[in-house]
Amino acid sequence: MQQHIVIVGGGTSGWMTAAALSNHFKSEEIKISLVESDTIGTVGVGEATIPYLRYFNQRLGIDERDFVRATNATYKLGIEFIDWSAQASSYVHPFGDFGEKIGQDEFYLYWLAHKKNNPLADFSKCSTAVVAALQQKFTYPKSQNKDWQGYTYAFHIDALKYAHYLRHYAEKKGVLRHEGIIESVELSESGDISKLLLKNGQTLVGDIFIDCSGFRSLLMAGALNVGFEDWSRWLICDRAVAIPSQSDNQFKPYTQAQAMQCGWRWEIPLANRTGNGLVYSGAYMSDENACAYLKNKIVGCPLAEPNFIQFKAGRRVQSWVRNCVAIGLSSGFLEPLESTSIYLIQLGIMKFLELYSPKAAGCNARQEFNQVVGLEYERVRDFIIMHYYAAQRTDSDFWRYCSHMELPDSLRERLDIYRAMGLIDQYEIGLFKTPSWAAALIGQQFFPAHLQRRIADLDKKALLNLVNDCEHKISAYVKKMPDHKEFLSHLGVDQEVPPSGLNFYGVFC
Amino acid sequence: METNREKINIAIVGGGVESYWAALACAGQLPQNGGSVTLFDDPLFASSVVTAGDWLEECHELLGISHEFFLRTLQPRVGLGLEIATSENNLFIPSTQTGYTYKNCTFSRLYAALGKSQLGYYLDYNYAYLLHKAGVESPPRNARAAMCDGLRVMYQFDGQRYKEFLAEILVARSVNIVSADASKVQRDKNGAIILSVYPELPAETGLLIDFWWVKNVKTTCEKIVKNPSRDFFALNRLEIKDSCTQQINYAGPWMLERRVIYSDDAEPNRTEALSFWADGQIKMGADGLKFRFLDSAERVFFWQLQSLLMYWPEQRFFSLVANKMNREWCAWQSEVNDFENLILTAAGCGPALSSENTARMDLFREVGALPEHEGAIFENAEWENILVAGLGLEPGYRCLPLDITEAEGLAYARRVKESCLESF
Repeated sequence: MQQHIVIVGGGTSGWMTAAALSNHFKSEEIKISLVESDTIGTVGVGEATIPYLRYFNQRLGIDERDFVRATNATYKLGIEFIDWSAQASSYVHPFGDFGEKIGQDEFYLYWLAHKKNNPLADFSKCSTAVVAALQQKFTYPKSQNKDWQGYTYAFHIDALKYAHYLRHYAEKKGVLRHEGIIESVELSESGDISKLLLKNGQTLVGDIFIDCSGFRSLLMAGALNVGFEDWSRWLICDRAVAIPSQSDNQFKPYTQAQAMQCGWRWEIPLANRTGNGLVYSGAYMSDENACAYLKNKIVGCPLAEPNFIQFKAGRRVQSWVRNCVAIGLSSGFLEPLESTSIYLIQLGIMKFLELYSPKAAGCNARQEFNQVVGLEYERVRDFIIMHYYAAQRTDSDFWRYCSHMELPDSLRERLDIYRAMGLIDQYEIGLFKTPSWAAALIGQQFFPAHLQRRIADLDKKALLNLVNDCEHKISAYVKKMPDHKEFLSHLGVDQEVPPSGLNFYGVFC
Repeated sequence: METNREKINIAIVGGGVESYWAALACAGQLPQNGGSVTLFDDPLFASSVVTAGDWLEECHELLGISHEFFLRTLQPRVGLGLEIATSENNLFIPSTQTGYTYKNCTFSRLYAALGKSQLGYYLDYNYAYLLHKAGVESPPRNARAAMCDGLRVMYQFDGQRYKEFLAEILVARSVNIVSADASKVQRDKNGAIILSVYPELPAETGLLIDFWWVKNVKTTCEKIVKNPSRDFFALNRLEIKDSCTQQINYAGPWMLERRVIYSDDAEPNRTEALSFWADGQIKMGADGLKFRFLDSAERVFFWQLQSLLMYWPEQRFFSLVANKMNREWCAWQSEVNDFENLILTAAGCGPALSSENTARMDLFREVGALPEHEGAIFENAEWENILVAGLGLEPGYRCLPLDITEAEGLAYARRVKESCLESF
């Protein structure tokens, strides 16, 4: 019997879900509907993305160059963090690795031992993505090249255009779009959602409902009353203001995140404009001051009025309850410091596709889905909290709170071990692996007090050779790369095909 | 950053292969300015057969041992999986994954979508199973069928000869091997065993790694619960368990992979260790494992060894990482016990299923998927083989991805089978 999946809400999350589902299921098996209203605005999360979006697009069979043109995209090699430490400084968290692994050990451990003897050593020189980003260069990593490159890339995109692009894709594959505002949600006797009643009188009956209604969480919070785990004691920013501006035509191949007195400011260079915004804490800064501060920092002419957004960091205690799955902001919110919004949408979609069967009740699948999604949210959360904590800034009440706050147990254990012996715990499930933690901790000048003896005792000369060799290889490789701007201008003209199968750290898999 | 120059003297107590591995690992980590490793070998311990998967090559690399030299010297037999003989039937559980991923779709998912009615028996797409069925006893190393991801083999070799092989390397690396005096094993008035080998340790011993595998002994669990950080790891009080059946009845050391199990051998209530790192001592080895099918115990040793090397336990760091290590090692222990209990269940003599195993089986039956969890010792393919081959479960239905048509999926599956059959 044909099942009916109803998606509530358009926007990035709704249309990503619709596109992925329509690509995955046969129409005779699953009917897919999406209800949204043109009168309700979308947050449009995820202008800055991470490399997993490439995998999502590839799964959908989307031509990457076509996608880049349609979304006014530029390429992205990482995120530059400015002033995220007590001393004025900046570092890039790259989409790629630092050096090559030495046996079982990550390169960063050897670099830390090297730094002990060479205080001026620069970790960023050991990452292809960082060196290329700072020189504003870009090309696709070469899949045939045997030399180690260890980088990959993502995009800066117009999220609204991406949603439109996917809407077109999904509708072509049979997704039915319903224009309307939901008036009420009806539950069956069992407690499942049975139908949606729209203001225009239309009724939508479904078997599975996917809540992509954003912060409102119309189904999950509204109809099913699923609780919210509040993480705002660790992530105290609760507001953002965004203003697009004219492009400076620099096309930096990286996002910028500059720490300020009560939060941080983003800058995202698209092909046709620049995305600007400020994430801040309402307890420490008024909306007026935030807006004025942001306007003062914008380089090009503003293209729109300021858009204020309020949020609370945290997640739904469960993301799949009964016959309802929350994806995107209805499932949880983490500030976009590490560009994870679209990734978290993608995670929910992919896991749902893996676990959903139209012929099963789904209780075990739900449990597994909630466990995996919950763990991923927590690990991304820890990574973001770490930025605030490890900054160790004390120049405002906001930063004093952050540098002295009590951390979640999972993060405290991780940082305690790192601080004591230099080791960064490796995990398998979770977006940010050891090289990301190393990039941020070392970049924020949060160094361990000791190193393990086996590392600390390594031969100085051998370490120097290892680091020098890595830096030289990278420097030579980047020298041959074209400018990002030039690369964009030749998009689709005599250009090679983007590589597939690269993970976050530039490893072909 | 400071560098601590403290000397470290390490005592390793136990005579199993894993103790020898640990001694080698420790010897490679000693600081340049001193320290020592002493291995207290238990002469009562007769290491019979060692079973190890492909990971052994990696293990040898980690320990600085030439795997090729090992192969030439020990000439291990190559097994394809585990055969379980029960009074009712014979089951074969291959160690190689079934089928191969096609267009991002795992073979188990393809099978779940197309079903048994169209594809027949799941293991007819398993290279190792087909070899086994064809009576191939010793496949060449690195055997490969065009459509499969190689053959994952199980090495089996004589444990005593392997110890001698390792001992030579240990001596060359300045490790002291001392015969532990097992006569000092005593009973107190309540019948509990007191192991008093430890007074022989050098007075300045900084770290004790214990591998003493006391067969058929149940630890006094209540005591551990009350006071988890003390006593247990000094190993000074252990309580003899009443039943004394041998856990696994090897039907001869070279009856390749054929281990006969009788339900009487099952020990469903055996206690798992609750912690492994405490009081400056580390308990490694298989005490918490109920059984030793396939290479489960050896694999745990290898994992323990890797984390020992990664979180090298200098005294100043010990308490810092102990919680983490205990959490992870306990999880491995539970996972291995779950895995082995499923094998026992397949053999018709399994204990009650743990909640994890129930969830695992239910999810597999429901949607043909397996739970994801951190630090998994066994791969999904290994669980699938047991669930399907051992327990006769069918993966629950999932949709075929849109980019694979039914005809294409069937043709692909046919090619997998043909490719396996053509290779021998």
